[in-house]
Amino acid sequence: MSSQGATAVLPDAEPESFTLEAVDVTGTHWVTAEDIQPSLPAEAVARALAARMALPQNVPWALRDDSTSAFLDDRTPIGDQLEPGAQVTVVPKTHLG
Amino acid sequence: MNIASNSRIRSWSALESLGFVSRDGGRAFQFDGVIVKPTRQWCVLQTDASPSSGPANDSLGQPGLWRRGTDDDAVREFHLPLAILGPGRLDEDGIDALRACVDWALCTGRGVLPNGWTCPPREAIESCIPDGGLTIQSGPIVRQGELVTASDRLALRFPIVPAVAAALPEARRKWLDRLIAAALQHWRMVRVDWGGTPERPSIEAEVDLSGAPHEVLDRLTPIAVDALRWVVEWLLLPANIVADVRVESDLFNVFSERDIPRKGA
Repeated sequence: MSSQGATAVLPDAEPESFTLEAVDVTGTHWVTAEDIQPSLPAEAVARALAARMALPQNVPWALRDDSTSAFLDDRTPIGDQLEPGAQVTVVPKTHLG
Repeated sequence: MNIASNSRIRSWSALESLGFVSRDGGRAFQFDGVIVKPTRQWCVLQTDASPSSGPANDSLGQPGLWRRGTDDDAVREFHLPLAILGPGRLDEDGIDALRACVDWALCTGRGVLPNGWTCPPREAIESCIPDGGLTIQSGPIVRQGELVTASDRLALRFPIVPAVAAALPEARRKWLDRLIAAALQHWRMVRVDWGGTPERPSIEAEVDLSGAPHEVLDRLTPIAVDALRWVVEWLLLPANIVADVRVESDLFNVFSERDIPRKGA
Protein backbone atom coordinates (compact mmCIF):
# COMPACT_ATOMS: atom_id res chain seq x y z
CA MET A 1 0.00 0.00 0.00
CA SER A 2 1.54 3.20 -1.07
CA SER A 3 0.92 6.10 1.20
CA GLN A 4 1.15 9.79 0.77
CA GLY A 5 1.59 11.30 4.14
CA ALA A 6 0.66 14.74 5.17
CA THR A 7 0.07 16.32 8.50
CA ALA A 8 -3.03 18.37 8.93
CA VAL A 9 -2.99 20.69 11.89
CA LEU A 10 -6.45 20.97 13.32
CA PRO A 11 -5.63 22.58 16.63
CA ASP A 12 -7.96 23.85 19.29
CA ALA A 13 -7.83 26.76 21.68
CA GLU A 14 -8.67 24.97 24.92
CA PRO A 15 -6.52 22.60 26.98
CA GLU A 16 -8.36 19.48 25.80
CA SER A 17 -7.32 18.31 22.37
CA PHE A 18 -6.35 15.09 20.72
CA THR A 19 -4.77 13.56 17.66
CA LEU A 20 -6.21 11.08 15.27
CA GLU A 21 -5.04 9.19 12.22
CA ALA A 22 -7.17 9.34 9.10
CA VAL A 23 -7.00 7.48 5.80
CA ASP A 24 -9.14 7.57 2.68
CA VAL A 25 -11.08 4.53 1.49
CA THR A 26 -8.40 3.55 -1.01
CA GLY A 27 -5.67 3.68 1.59
CA THR A 28 -3.73 6.05 -0.66
CA HIS A 29 -3.81 9.12 1.49
CA TRP A 30 -3.29 9.32 5.19
CA VAL A 31 -3.24 12.25 7.54
CA THR A 32 -2.22 12.77 11.12
CA ALA A 33 -4.53 15.41 12.54
CA GLU A 34 -3.10 17.02 15.64
CA ASP A 35 -4.83 18.88 18.44
CA ILE A 36 -8.37 18.36 17.30
CA GLN A 37 -10.93 20.39 19.20
CA PRO A 38 -13.20 17.82 20.89
CA SER A 39 -16.15 20.14 20.38
CA LEU A 40 -15.93 20.03 16.61
CA PRO A 41 -18.83 18.27 14.87
CA ALA A 42 -17.63 15.11 13.18
CA GLU A 43 -18.89 16.25 9.81
CA ALA A 44 -16.74 19.38 9.90
CA VAL A 45 -13.69 17.33 10.81
CA ALA A 46 -14.44 14.96 7.93
CA ARG A 47 -14.58 17.83 5.44
CA ALA A 48 -11.32 19.29 6.70
CA LEU A 49 -9.55 15.94 6.56
CA ALA A 50 -10.83 15.40 3.04
CA ALA A 51 -9.49 18.80 2.05
CA ARG A 52 -6.11 17.94 3.46
CA MET A 53 -6.10 14.78 1.35
CA ALA A 54 -7.04 16.85 -1.71
CA LEU A 55 -10.31 14.96 -1.97
CA PRO A 56 -13.14 16.81 -3.73
CA GLN A 57 -15.00 19.24 -1.53
CA ASN A 58 -18.28 18.95 -3.42
CA VAL A 59 -18.76 15.47 -1.99
CA PRO A 60 -20.22 14.94 1.47
CA TRP A 61 -17.79 13.06 3.69
CA ALA A 62 -18.25 10.95 6.78
CA LEU A 63 -15.89 9.41 9.27
CA ARG A 64 -15.81 5.73 10.12
CA ASP A 65 -14.21 4.60 13.34
CA ASP A 66 -11.82 1.85 12.26
CA SER A 67 -11.98 0.15 15.64
CA THR A 68 -15.73 -0.42 15.46
CA SER A 69 -16.52 0.11 11.78
CA ALA A 70 -19.27 2.45 12.95
CA PHE A 71 -19.89 5.74 11.23
CA LEU A 72 -19.65 8.78 13.41
CA ASP A 73 -22.70 10.95 13.85
CA ASP A 74 -22.21 14.11 11.81
CA ARG A 75 -23.56 16.56 14.31
CA THR A 76 -22.17 15.07 17.49
CA PRO A 77 -18.88 16.51 18.74
CA ILE A 78 -16.03 14.32 17.69
CA GLY A 79 -14.67 14.25 21.23
CA ASP A 80 -17.84 12.49 22.31
CA GLN A 81 -17.34 9.75 19.75
CA LEU A 82 -13.62 9.07 19.56
CA GLU A 83 -10.77 8.47 21.92
CA PRO A 84 -7.43 10.22 21.45
CA GLY A 85 -5.28 8.39 18.97
CA ALA A 86 -8.23 6.84 17.18
CA GLN A 87 -7.95 5.79 13.56
CA VAL A 88 -10.67 6.77 11.15
CA THR A 89 -11.46 6.40 7.48
CA VAL A 90 -12.81 9.29 5.46
CA VAL A 91 -15.70 7.88 3.47
CA PRO A 92 -17.87 9.53 0.81
CA LYS A 93 -21.53 9.56 1.75
CA THR A 94 -22.80 8.93 -1.73
CA HIS A 95 -24.04 5.45 -0.93
CA LEU A 96 -25.64 6.33 2.38
CA GLY A 97 -29.26 7.25 2.96
CA MET B 1 -23.49 64.25 6.33
CA ASN B 2 -25.69 66.10 8.75
CA ILE B 3 -26.98 63.37 10.97
CA ALA B 4 -30.01 65.40 11.90
CA SER B 5 -31.29 65.09 8.33
CA ASN B 6 -30.67 61.36 8.12
CA SER B 7 -34.07 59.83 7.69
CA ARG B 8 -32.75 56.60 9.17
CA ILE B 9 -31.86 58.19 12.46
CA ARG B 10 -33.59 61.38 13.49
CA SER B 11 -33.23 61.06 17.17
CA TRP B 12 -29.56 61.32 17.88
CA SER B 13 -30.75 63.95 20.29
CA ALA B 14 -31.43 60.91 22.48
CA LEU B 15 -27.72 61.10 23.19
CA GLU B 16 -28.20 64.51 24.75
CA SER B 17 -30.03 62.89 27.63
CA LEU B 18 -26.75 61.11 28.36
CA GLY B 19 -24.82 64.34 28.34
CA PHE B 20 -23.54 64.29 24.77
CA VAL B 21 -23.20 67.56 22.90
CA SER B 22 -23.27 67.94 19.16
CA ARG B 23 -20.10 68.90 17.30
CA ASP B 24 -18.69 69.02 13.79
CA GLY B 25 -21.93 70.40 12.43
CA GLY B 26 -23.96 67.56 13.84
CA ARG B 27 -21.74 64.84 12.43
CA ALA B 28 -20.57 63.75 15.85
CA PHE B 29 -21.39 63.98 19.54
CA GLN B 30 -19.05 64.18 22.49
CA PHE B 31 -19.20 63.51 26.20
CA ASP B 32 -16.41 63.10 28.70
CA GLY B 33 -13.74 62.08 26.22
CA VAL B 34 -16.00 59.80 24.20
CA ILE B 35 -16.94 60.79 20.66
CA VAL B 36 -19.94 59.23 18.93
CA LYS B 37 -19.76 59.14 15.16
CA PRO B 38 -22.90 57.77 13.52
CA THR B 39 -22.59 56.38 10.03
CA ARG B 40 -25.25 54.90 7.81
CA GLN B 41 -24.98 51.46 9.38
CA TRP B 42 -22.94 51.91 12.52
CA CYS B 43 -22.78 53.98 15.63
CA VAL B 44 -19.07 54.25 16.38
CA LEU B 45 -17.97 55.40 19.80
CA GLN B 46 -14.38 56.44 19.97
CA THR B 47 -12.03 57.33 22.77
CA ASP B 48 -8.42 58.30 22.99
CA ALA B 49 -6.40 55.29 24.05
CA SER B 50 -4.00 57.34 26.14
CA PRO B 51 -4.03 56.64 29.90
CA SER B 52 -5.11 60.18 30.66
CA SER B 53 -8.44 59.38 29.03
CA GLY B 54 -9.06 56.61 31.46
CA PRO B 55 -8.87 52.88 30.76
CA ALA B 56 -10.79 51.54 27.81
CA ASN B 57 -11.02 47.81 28.04
CA ASP B 58 -10.14 46.50 24.63
CA SER B 59 -8.36 43.28 25.45
CA LEU B 60 -9.66 39.78 24.95
CA GLY B 61 -11.91 38.81 27.82
CA GLN B 62 -12.90 42.35 28.74
CA PRO B 63 -16.58 43.30 28.72
CA GLY B 64 -18.05 45.20 25.81
CA LEU B 65 -17.08 45.85 22.22
CA TRP B 66 -14.12 48.19 22.76
CA ARG B 67 -11.17 47.39 20.55
CA ARG B 68 -8.45 49.08 18.51
CA GLY B 69 -9.67 51.59 15.96
CA THR B 70 -10.08 50.61 12.33
CA ASP B 71 -8.07 53.54 11.03
CA ASP B 72 -6.02 54.56 14.03
CA ASP B 73 -4.20 52.38 16.53
CA ALA B 74 -4.13 55.29 18.93
CA VAL B 75 -7.87 55.24 19.52
CA ARG B 76 -10.29 52.70 20.89
CA GLU B 77 -13.61 52.14 19.22
CA PHE B 78 -16.94 50.53 20.06
CA HIS B 79 -18.83 49.52 16.93
CA LEU B 80 -22.58 49.31 17.42
CA PRO B 81 -24.54 48.03 14.41
CA LEU B 82 -27.57 50.24 13.91
CA ALA B 83 -29.56 47.25 12.66
CA ILE B 84 -30.13 46.24 16.27
CA LEU B 85 -32.27 49.32 16.80
CA GLY B 86 -34.85 48.11 14.32
CA PRO B 87 -35.68 49.05 10.76
CA GLY B 88 -36.58 52.49 9.55
CA ARG B 89 -36.86 55.57 11.67
CA LEU B 90 -36.21 55.17 15.35
CA ASP B 91 -39.35 54.80 17.41
CA GLU B 92 -39.59 55.18 21.14
CA ASP B 93 -38.29 51.66 21.74
CA GLY B 94 -35.42 52.28 19.35
CA ILE B 95 -34.46 55.45 21.15
CA ASP B 96 -34.51 53.66 24.48
CA ALA B 97 -32.38 50.89 23.02
CA LEU B 98 -29.90 53.43 21.67
CA ARG B 99 -29.64 55.05 25.08
CA ALA B 100 -29.13 51.67 26.73
CA CYS B 101 -26.46 50.68 24.20
CA VAL B 102 -24.54 53.90 24.65
CA ASP B 103 -24.73 53.43 28.40
CA TRP B 104 -23.35 49.92 27.85
CA ALA B 105 -20.45 51.38 25.90
CA LEU B 106 -19.73 54.07 28.47
CA CYS B 107 -19.80 51.61 31.37
CA THR B 108 -17.59 49.00 29.71
CA GLY B 109 -15.27 51.78 28.61
CA ARG B 110 -14.67 52.30 32.32
CA GLY B 111 -14.21 48.58 32.82
CA VAL B 112 -17.55 47.94 34.52
CA LEU B 113 -20.85 46.41 33.57
CA PRO B 114 -24.07 48.43 33.53
CA ASN B 115 -25.67 48.47 36.92
CA GLY B 116 -27.59 45.29 37.64
CA TRP B 117 -26.65 43.50 34.39
CA THR B 118 -26.64 39.74 34.43
CA CYS B 119 -26.22 37.30 31.59
CA PRO B 120 -29.49 36.05 30.07
CA PRO B 121 -30.21 32.31 30.14
CA ARG B 122 -27.77 30.45 27.92
CA GLU B 123 -30.60 28.79 26.01
CA ALA B 124 -31.94 32.17 25.00
CA ILE B 125 -28.62 33.13 23.44
CA GLU B 126 -28.15 29.72 21.81
CA SER B 127 -31.51 30.13 20.11
CA CYS B 128 -30.12 33.24 18.40
CA ILE B 129 -27.17 31.35 16.91
CA PRO B 130 -27.80 29.66 13.57
CA ASP B 131 -27.28 25.93 13.35
CA GLY B 132 -23.60 25.34 12.66
CA GLY B 133 -22.89 28.98 13.23
CA LEU B 134 -19.98 28.28 15.53
CA THR B 135 -18.21 25.88 13.15
CA ILE B 136 -15.95 27.29 10.47
CA GLN B 137 -14.04 25.27 7.93
CA SER B 138 -11.57 26.77 5.51
CA GLY B 139 -10.05 24.04 3.42
CA PRO B 140 -7.95 21.82 5.65
CA ILE B 141 -8.52 23.92 8.73
CA VAL B 142 -11.61 23.78 10.88
CA ARG B 143 -12.38 25.66 14.05
CA GLN B 144 -15.12 25.47 16.63
CA GLY B 145 -16.10 28.66 18.33
CA GLU B 146 -17.64 28.81 21.74
CA LEU B 147 -20.37 30.67 23.50
CA VAL B 148 -19.06 31.84 26.85
CA THR B 149 -21.68 32.47 29.50
CA ALA B 150 -21.40 33.25 33.18
CA SER B 151 -23.35 35.45 35.55
CA ASP B 152 -21.25 38.44 34.49
CA ARG B 153 -20.08 37.34 31.08
CA LEU B 154 -21.46 36.79 27.61
CA ALA B 155 -19.09 36.37 24.70
CA LEU B 156 -18.45 34.54 21.46
CA ARG B 157 -14.89 33.39 20.81
CA PHE B 158 -13.05 31.60 18.07
CA PRO B 159 -9.53 30.24 18.06
CA ILE B 160 -7.74 31.26 14.88
CA VAL B 161 -4.31 29.86 15.69
CA PRO B 162 -4.85 27.94 18.91
CA ALA B 163 -1.22 27.16 19.58
CA VAL B 164 1.61 29.28 18.22
CA ALA B 165 5.07 27.88 18.77
CA ALA B 166 6.70 29.79 21.61
CA ALA B 167 9.93 29.83 19.59
CA LEU B 168 8.28 31.22 16.47
CA PRO B 169 10.84 33.25 14.47
CA GLU B 170 10.49 36.99 14.97
CA ALA B 171 9.77 37.69 11.30
CA ARG B 172 6.82 35.29 11.35
CA ARG B 173 5.52 36.83 14.53
CA LYS B 174 5.63 40.25 12.88
CA TRP B 175 3.73 38.85 9.91
CA LEU B 176 1.10 37.58 12.31
CA ASP B 177 0.97 40.99 13.99
CA ARG B 178 0.43 42.49 10.57
CA LEU B 179 -2.37 40.06 9.77
CA ILE B 180 -4.06 40.96 13.05
CA ALA B 181 -3.71 44.65 12.28
CA ALA B 182 -5.11 44.11 8.78
CA ALA B 183 -8.12 42.30 10.20
CA LEU B 184 -8.80 45.13 12.64
CA GLN B 185 -8.54 47.65 9.82
CA HIS B 186 -10.82 45.68 7.55
CA TRP B 187 -13.56 44.51 9.89
CA ARG B 188 -15.62 46.22 12.54
CA MET B 189 -16.79 45.00 15.90
CA VAL B 190 -14.53 41.96 16.31
CA ARG B 191 -11.48 41.87 18.54
CA VAL B 192 -8.51 39.94 17.19
CA ASP B 193 -5.49 39.61 19.35
CA TRP B 194 -2.87 37.40 20.89
CA GLY B 195 -4.16 35.28 23.71
CA GLY B 196 -3.18 32.12 25.54
CA THR B 197 -0.07 32.10 27.70
CA PRO B 198 3.58 33.02 27.08
CA GLU B 199 4.34 29.32 26.87
CA ARG B 200 1.42 28.60 24.57
CA PRO B 201 0.38 31.80 22.79
CA SER B 202 -2.62 31.81 20.52
CA ILE B 203 -4.47 34.13 18.19
CA GLU B 204 -8.15 34.51 18.90
CA ALA B 205 -11.17 36.45 17.72
CA GLU B 206 -13.90 37.58 20.03
CA VAL B 207 -17.08 39.58 20.30
CA ASP B 208 -17.86 40.35 23.92
CA LEU B 209 -21.49 41.11 24.60
CA SER B 210 -21.16 41.33 28.37
CA GLY B 211 -23.33 44.19 29.51
CA ALA B 212 -25.37 44.40 26.32
CA PRO B 213 -29.00 45.43 26.89
CA HIS B 214 -31.15 42.31 26.90
CA GLU B 215 -33.66 43.86 24.54
CA VAL B 216 -31.15 44.01 21.67
CA LEU B 217 -29.50 40.61 22.09
CA ASP B 218 -31.86 38.76 19.76
CA ARG B 219 -30.68 41.04 16.94
CA LEU B 220 -27.14 41.62 18.14
CA THR B 221 -26.16 37.99 18.65
CA PRO B 222 -26.64 36.86 15.03
CA ILE B 223 -24.79 39.97 13.85
CA ALA B 224 -21.95 39.14 16.23
CA VAL B 225 -21.81 35.57 14.92
CA ASP B 226 -21.69 36.80 11.33
CA ALA B 227 -19.02 39.35 12.14
CA LEU B 228 -16.88 36.70 13.78
CA ARG B 229 -17.34 34.25 10.93
CA TRP B 230 -16.22 36.80 8.36
CA VAL B 231 -13.09 37.66 10.28
CA VAL B 232 -12.19 34.08 11.14
CA GLU B 233 -12.74 32.85 7.58
CA TRP B 234 -10.62 35.73 6.31
CA LEU B 235 -7.73 35.00 8.65
CA LEU B 236 -7.83 31.26 9.10
CA LEU B 237 -5.65 30.05 6.25
CA PRO B 238 -3.07 32.87 6.10
CA ALA B 239 -2.58 33.01 9.86
CA ASN B 240 -2.17 29.27 10.20
CA ILE B 241 0.20 29.05 7.27
CA VAL B 242 2.42 31.79 8.70
CA ALA B 243 2.32 30.24 12.16
CA ASP B 244 3.22 26.77 10.90
CA VAL B 245 7.02 26.59 10.89
CA ARG B 246 6.81 23.44 8.76
CA VAL B 247 5.65 25.66 5.89
CA GLU B 248 8.84 27.06 4.46
CA SER B 249 8.97 30.25 2.45
CA ASP B 250 11.52 32.99 1.98
CA LEU B 251 8.63 35.41 2.43
CA PHE B 252 8.23 34.37 6.04
CA ASN B 253 11.90 34.82 6.85
CA VAL B 254 11.90 38.56 6.31
CA PHE B 255 9.44 41.19 7.45
CA SER B 256 9.51 44.77 6.27
CA GLU B 257 6.90 47.46 6.87
CA ARG B 258 8.07 49.00 3.64
CA ASP B 259 6.52 46.14 1.72
CA ILE B 260 3.09 46.51 3.34
CA PRO B 261 0.53 48.26 1.13
CA ARG B 262 -1.02 51.27 2.85
CA LYS B 263 -4.70 52.04 2.96
CA GLY B 264 -5.50 54.42 0.13
CA ALA B 265 -2.23 53.70 -1.65
